[in-house]
Amino acid sequence: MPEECIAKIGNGFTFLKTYKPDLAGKENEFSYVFSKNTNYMLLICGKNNNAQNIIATIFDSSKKEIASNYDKKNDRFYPAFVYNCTVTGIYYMKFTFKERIECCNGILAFKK
Amino acid sequence: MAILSVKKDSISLHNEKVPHEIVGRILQSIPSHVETSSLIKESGGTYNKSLLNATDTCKKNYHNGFEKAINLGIYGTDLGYVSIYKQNNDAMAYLTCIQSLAEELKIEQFFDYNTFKRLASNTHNMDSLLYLTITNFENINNFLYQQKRSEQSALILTGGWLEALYISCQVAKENKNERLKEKIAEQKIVLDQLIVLLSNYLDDENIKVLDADLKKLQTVYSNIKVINKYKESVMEEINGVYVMNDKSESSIEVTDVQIEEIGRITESIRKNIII
Repeated sequence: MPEECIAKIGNGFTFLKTYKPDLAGKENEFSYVFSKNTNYMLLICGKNNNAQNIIATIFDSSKKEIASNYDKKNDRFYPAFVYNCTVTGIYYMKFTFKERIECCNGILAFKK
Repeated sequence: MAILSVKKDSISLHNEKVPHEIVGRILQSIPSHVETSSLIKESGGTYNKSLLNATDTCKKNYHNGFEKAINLGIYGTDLGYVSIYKQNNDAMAYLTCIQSLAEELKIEQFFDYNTFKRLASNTHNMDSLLYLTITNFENINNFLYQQKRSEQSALILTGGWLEALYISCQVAKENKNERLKEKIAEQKIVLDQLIVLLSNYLDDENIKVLDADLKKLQTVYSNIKVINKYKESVMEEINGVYVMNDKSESSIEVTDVQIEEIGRITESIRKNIII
């Protein structure tokens, strides 16, 4: 449930938006205008509210990967990550899945 | 950029020049007015009800779908502003206006007025009220998009954005805050997105007028320079949270005169909308 995921938003962050990725893959990319000097937190809540096997990645306006909840080196999925934005622009959030799972909510929050 | 190439090709689908899917993406990308309202509060702006749209006229002033949808967006931003300042007494009046316009647009199913009323009755619940306001507007946008009523969704978002810009400019007149000034300048990106979105519905005379007005604003924005310097970012773990520190830099060259001009045009557009 998005409400349970929203409850996990970190201290000082304010809720902005919910994303509901579709496992079929049609609508797994979302865009949003991020502002400079703002911290954006992306929470990923799958089954039992954990992020196992869900990869959320942020790309900048030129589609360059800039942040992700997935630590490739240690094969670890973080349930949340923070992107400290320094350039205002359109950013893309893409959700991909390492295996078929019950899907999931993405919650975007911000802190100045 | 995909949006521009699509626009150039003028692909037609369901009487829309921009494909329905792209419209959905643009609708999703418009930032929440909550960020602007928070910045206004943090920059020392005191609560000022006189900046908001009046609530005593909402039931009688708005006659057609255009006026109802765009003013629903305006009242949505006003409710967000009121919630951030925890002004629960004023919140009720804005909720009443939102409920009334939502009913007339046949989207009242997204507003549980009793829950809203309960939350607005206590200042401790204002964060929940803000959350409910944001999610309900999200649900409305999704519903209108699925119902192929995207023009109403575009108008709600435009109204909400315009109101946030208007309030920011008014506050900036009194409070020379650099971050607020930058925030106003940054709206160049959102304005461009909104103009692409509205270009789909220029058959509607009201939207045509709005589009022409927004293009006047775009002319002022076109002289604002944004300079970005990209650098590699650094990832670290802080208290179990992955944090990505972007080392890129961005500067915006905007003058007080340009901010004043944006404020003047925004005020004029808004005046014609709120009637």
